Amino acid sequence: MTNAANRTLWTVIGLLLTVAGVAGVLANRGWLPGVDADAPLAWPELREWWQDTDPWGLVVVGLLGLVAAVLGLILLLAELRRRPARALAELRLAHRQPGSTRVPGGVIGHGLERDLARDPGIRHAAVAVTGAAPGPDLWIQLDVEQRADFAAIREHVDEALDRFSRTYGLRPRRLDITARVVGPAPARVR
Amino acid sequence: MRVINRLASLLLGLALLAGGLLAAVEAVLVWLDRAPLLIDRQGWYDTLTTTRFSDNGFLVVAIVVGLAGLLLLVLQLRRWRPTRLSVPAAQGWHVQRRSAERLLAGVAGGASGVSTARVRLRERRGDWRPFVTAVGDPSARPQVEAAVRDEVARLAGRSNGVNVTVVQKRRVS
Repeated sequence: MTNAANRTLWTVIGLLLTVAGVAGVLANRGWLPGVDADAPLAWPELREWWQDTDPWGLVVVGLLGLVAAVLGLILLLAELRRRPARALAELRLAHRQPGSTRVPGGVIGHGLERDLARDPGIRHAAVAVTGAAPGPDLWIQLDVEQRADFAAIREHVDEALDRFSRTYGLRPRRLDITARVVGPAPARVR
Repeated sequence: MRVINRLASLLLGLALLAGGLLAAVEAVLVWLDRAPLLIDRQGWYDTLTTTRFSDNGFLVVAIVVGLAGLLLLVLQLRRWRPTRLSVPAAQGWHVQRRSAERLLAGVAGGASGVSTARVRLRERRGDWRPFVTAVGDPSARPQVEAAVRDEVARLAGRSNGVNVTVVQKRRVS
């Protein structure tokens, strides 16, 4: 699940807890309409209503339990799976009769990674190609040596992207590059 | 906060899965008229039928729940520090904030007369704004400022203001 989705989920939970807490305090003070402060939490009508539902009440509780379990499983799987977007599956290069050339999406990204990492200032490059040809989205993460010439690195990346476009006939619709400065750190950030 | 949210969501997923399965199993056991697996049915029934809304225990629980909800809301709705900063000089480029802060702290801490430094980076109107807190000789301030400005210019392509505070190290006598 994305950070934004997690943030929304916990905002909603926070809101529900706040409302429940406020309602509880109002009920305790006798200020909540329709609730008698001296009544027990499970008041007699509720008990009678539950007994009237037999056996369907149990079926509903069992089903609600299963629904909660399935929702929990979905949430767990969504948290454990981190796929930013649909990766480009395959690229068909310009047809030259006879036959055609197909390149798996992963290979395209690996090729660009190797080209980017040729610069000694780039310690590691990771590329994700998503979307669809001929205008895919490119997500690039670079580990850049802290003493590297950043302007030269940017030029190198531009050249590598130019080669990438010419080789595969792709014009990236969106380009997102994140550089992480790596190297021994003399001071500590708290 | 991003990591905490992710961990909390994992725990919530586990709790829903375990609680949901338990509720389903307990419902089946009630239907079969068998003994409960984990839930003390009589105990829950007695608690719910004897606890009143006006009880102090109920009030305490309600306040704790409400405060927990408010805390969650504040933590989620306040402004989070970005994980990366846009590079003003190059479209589509970003630098991971913490790694840049670490580098700048190293540069500031390397200035003569400075023992340690801490840097916080903010982004304002597309420009990086470093806030440097250094421990050392206050006369080192211009040197720290120049070093950090140059480093920001190297990383981001341009550099405007640098906010430097130099705190004198207390001597133990």
